[in-house]
Amino acid sequence: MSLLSASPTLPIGLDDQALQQLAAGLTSQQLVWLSGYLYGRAGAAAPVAAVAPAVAEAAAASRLTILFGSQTGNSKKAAGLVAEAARRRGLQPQVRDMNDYPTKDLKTEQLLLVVVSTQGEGDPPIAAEELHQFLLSSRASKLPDLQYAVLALGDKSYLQFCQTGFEFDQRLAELGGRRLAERLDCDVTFEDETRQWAEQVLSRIAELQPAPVPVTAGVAVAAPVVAVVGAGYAPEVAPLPAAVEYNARNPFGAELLEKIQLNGRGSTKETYHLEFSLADSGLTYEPGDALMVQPRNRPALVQEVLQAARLPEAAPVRLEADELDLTTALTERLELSVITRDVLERYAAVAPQHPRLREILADTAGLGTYLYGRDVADLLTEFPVELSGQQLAAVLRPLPARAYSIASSLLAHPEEVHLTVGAVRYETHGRAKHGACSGYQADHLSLGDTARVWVDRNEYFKLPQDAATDIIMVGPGTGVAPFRAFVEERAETGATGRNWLLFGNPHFTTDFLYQTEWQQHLKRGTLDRLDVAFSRDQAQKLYVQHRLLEQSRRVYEQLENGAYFYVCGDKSRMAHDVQQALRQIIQQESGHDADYAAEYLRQLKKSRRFLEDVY
Amino acid sequence: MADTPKLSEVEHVKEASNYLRGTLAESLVNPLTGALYPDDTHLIKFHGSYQQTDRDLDSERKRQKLEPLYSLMIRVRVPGGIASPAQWRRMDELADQYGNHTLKLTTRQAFQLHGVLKRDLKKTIQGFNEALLDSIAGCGDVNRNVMCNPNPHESPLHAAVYEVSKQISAHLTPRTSAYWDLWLNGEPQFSSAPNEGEEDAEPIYGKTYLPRKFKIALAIPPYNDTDIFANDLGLIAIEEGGQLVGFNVAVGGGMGMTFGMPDTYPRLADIIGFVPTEKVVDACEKIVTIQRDWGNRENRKFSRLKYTVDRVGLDVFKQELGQRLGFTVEPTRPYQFRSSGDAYGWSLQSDGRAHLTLFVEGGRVLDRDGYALKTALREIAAFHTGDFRLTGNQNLIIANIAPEHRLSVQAVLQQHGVAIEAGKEYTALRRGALACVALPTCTLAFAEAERYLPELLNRLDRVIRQQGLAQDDILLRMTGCPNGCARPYLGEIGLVGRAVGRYNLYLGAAFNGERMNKLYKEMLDEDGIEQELTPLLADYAQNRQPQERFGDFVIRQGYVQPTASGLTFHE
Repeated sequence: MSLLSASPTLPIGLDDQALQQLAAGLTSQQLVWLSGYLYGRAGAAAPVAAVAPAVAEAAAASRLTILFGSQTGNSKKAAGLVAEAARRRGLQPQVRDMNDYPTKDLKTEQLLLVVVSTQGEGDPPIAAEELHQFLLSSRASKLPDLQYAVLALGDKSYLQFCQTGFEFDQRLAELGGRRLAERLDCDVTFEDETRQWAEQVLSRIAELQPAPVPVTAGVAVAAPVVAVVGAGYAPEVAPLPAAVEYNARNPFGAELLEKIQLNGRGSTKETYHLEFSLADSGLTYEPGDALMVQPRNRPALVQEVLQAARLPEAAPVRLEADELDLTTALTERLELSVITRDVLERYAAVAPQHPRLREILADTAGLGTYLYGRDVADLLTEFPVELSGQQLAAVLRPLPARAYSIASSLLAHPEEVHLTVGAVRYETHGRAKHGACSGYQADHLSLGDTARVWVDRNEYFKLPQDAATDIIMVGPGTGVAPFRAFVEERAETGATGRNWLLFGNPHFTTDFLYQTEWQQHLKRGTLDRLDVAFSRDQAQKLYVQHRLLEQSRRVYEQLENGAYFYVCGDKSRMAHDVQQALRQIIQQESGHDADYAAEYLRQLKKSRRFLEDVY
Repeated sequence: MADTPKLSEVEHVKEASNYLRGTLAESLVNPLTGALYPDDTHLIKFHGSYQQTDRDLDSERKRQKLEPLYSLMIRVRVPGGIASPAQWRRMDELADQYGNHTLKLTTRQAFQLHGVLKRDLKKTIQGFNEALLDSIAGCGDVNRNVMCNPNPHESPLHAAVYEVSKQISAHLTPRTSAYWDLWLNGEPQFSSAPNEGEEDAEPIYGKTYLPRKFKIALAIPPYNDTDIFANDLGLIAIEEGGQLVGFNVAVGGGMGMTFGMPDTYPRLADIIGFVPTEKVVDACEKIVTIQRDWGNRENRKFSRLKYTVDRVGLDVFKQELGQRLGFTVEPTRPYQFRSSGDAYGWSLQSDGRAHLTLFVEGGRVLDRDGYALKTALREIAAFHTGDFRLTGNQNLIIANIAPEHRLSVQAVLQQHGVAIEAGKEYTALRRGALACVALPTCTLAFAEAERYLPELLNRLDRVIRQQGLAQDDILLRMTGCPNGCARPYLGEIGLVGRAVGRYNLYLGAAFNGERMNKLYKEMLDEDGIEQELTPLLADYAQNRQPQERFGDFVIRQGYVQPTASGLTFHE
């Protein structure tokens, strides 16, 4: 089908036939790309501002605000996708960060799209805290003129999936807002769903608003392509043909160049340093970004699942548009090593003979305990049912890629990306369990193999713009990964700010990750200070927060001096303890009370000088 | 003397160390490395410890971005080699708590703990200090552990000689308070306390101590198991009517040399005369001070007393000694050494007490499958009322066993698979063999020694048995480098490591330790060693004269020339 075939009279003297010829045989994706390309050419050839006012005027009649609350940058990214879609429709959305959004502006909004993520067990991102708190309080005024929609981001492996988005959605409705569309709750892979949702919401807006461009609603899909050329959208919409975009649908096959077990003999830990080639990919990243790695499930687990399900290896399965055998589907496409609430819900639906499943689901408080350490084979063994391969596939969730904080600087290692991966291994319910992606990299990825990867930009977890700014990095365990990148980057760029690293792990002799590299950095002055906490080397357990407290004065002085404070690693305990220590330090060194310290820390977060990359 | 001697690096380190402190306190608390600062690695030796790495893991860890697995070897002094059961128990405990679960009995009658991490060093030293043991001057450019024949028989004579060895040890112990400042939280340490009101000063050593290590050993003829001629200063006890009257004094012994430097050589001490008992401590002090003043401080390869003696000549040395002492040493008294080995098994005294000499392979007290020597000795130390005596041959005497404990000692050892009559299970070659530690911990080693020797002996034992020599004592000594810790140049068969798997073979030392051996073949691998030794042993089995020792035989048969002195060792 030609997208342009239904076009009526074209504006600004465009020749219908010429366009038909141009677009013949192109896929819709190619057409979208072409739109940007043509825009880019137009921009290079002549300013297009002259034709813009008409559209701007039309859009001004209905101000669209896209408000995002982001922790890792995903919500910001999603907001960007929505904005892009809006611009293609000739709208001029204001994209705003909740972090800098005055709460009083809320009542002036008419069209509001909220994009917000949920952290941990149902908390809003730091950037959204203030607005979230205000909105849920009694101070929030009625919003009778508001039309809105919420895009919620989250991670289904958490119980309170998309809780913050849910709360925004509920509360805006309570305050009198009218939904433009149902809330969308997105799992870790959100791009496609976001685009679809954006089209849905924007179509609804288009119905409500005067058309921004002179085309009929019936050809809305085709219109933007043409309108782009004529209307002069914001420049960032115009991607000149450049690097290929790598993502979940188009991962880059990165060759594994090096794999080193970093823990010495006798360690209880198993941490790998992996070096992947990015040669000829055009793929770039900055320190602080993450690398997404698409795992394959381990053959042993696939076999266990097949046996537990009593299904043949070759059972046919259809996933989206693909016809696969069950083994391939279980290996490549479906999550097996963890089960989440949604999986359990779908399984309960196909296993009505097991009322126990519904009891487990109903026990919200106990659900987490039940899910912990159970995989799909455990579930199938505990609650056996007769299933077809297709039914099983429908119960399971897609096998997601895992994000790893990148451990290298491109300046130090051109065309390479390094990871620090802790192999997750434990035994539960009588079976050995392995982290899907860490196990894949530790056990199945050999030198010369390629892994499917792409870069996930972390908007905020970045080095300070100012090279003279001091940084304090708290990165115990594999949390040290991004700081290897930070220190390498600052060494390469000759940044003058002081670099202070705090590292911890169980044992000095076996678990001092990158020890000799840090020793070299210290010698060269590219690392100014390194404090270490080896928790099991003495009777009382010592952790990074204890080292911070020991250096209380130094921490505070550097913060007062504008230092950035970074935390990477374990979320559930370490990150919490470090914040606690930091509040204690601020209170102690400032001579003020606990409230002051809490506010001080809050301000650090708000100004994005306290940054976390925790998991 | 040169006008402006260019002192060796270590001399500067000592000079600047403020009596052996250096920056050790900072080194110890630096949490980012298991190593000490480079200068402190010299100073720690004076405190009885060497910094080492597990060389087996060096390259693996480098790849893992980990520094070498640094640890410290601690040498605990046992003057005369006699330890109480309580001291034994404590060393046993410390080996498990902070060390590598083994105790090494050294060729100088000391305990060595291996694999102690820097952060545990202080706790370890405090641990043995509580049992009245110390490690000061265990290593370093000072007088080391004073050796004394541990012979539990001849009791009154031994007691007197042992007393002298303790006096010498105490007299020559460094006086610096650095040792207890660093390790014992400032509490004066029992055996190295300075005189009341004395500031840090070293009346004997001075602030730069000696140019190099200094070793003293005492022996009661006819036993020379302390190998006194391998020492800088050897003292041969002379008795008259069962009473100790004094010592023949021998100076200038030392085993170390460097491959490729013929100016370096092992040397046996020369006897310079006799000194009565009451003057022997003073004589030791004066000999030490001569070496302090005359020893080479520019090149540590030529710093031992043996080079000083050869440089100035024995006469000049004796003259200087006479001046410093204020009397001339008397003429040498007659004596005779018969052997330098240990006699294994039980021996009974007329008063009912018993002694048991145990063969300890490589001097290593450990537990392994079917052989739990360490556990057995721990159990014995729990009830034993006598003492434990470390021999200069890395063996152990459970001495002065009460009559009522004899059976228990025997039972405990048997229960843990420890041979009591070493002769029945082992060839005499094996039970007399010595090996230094070498790989993986010794930084100097070129080749294996302690952990390889048993394997090599499995092959040599077959040859020995084929030739019917299973009960013939032949001294075999193996080291991983030419520095000589296991006194290889006094081996009737000496094997000195050149490279991994390659050894120089030396032959022809005297069984009683009075003549060194001579290079026979170079760079032999295991097959080569067996091939070279097999015809020699066959010849010895067939053609030896009655009572003829292997070391003498190979000279008589012309396999090697006798080594008359250190200066002719390489000829």
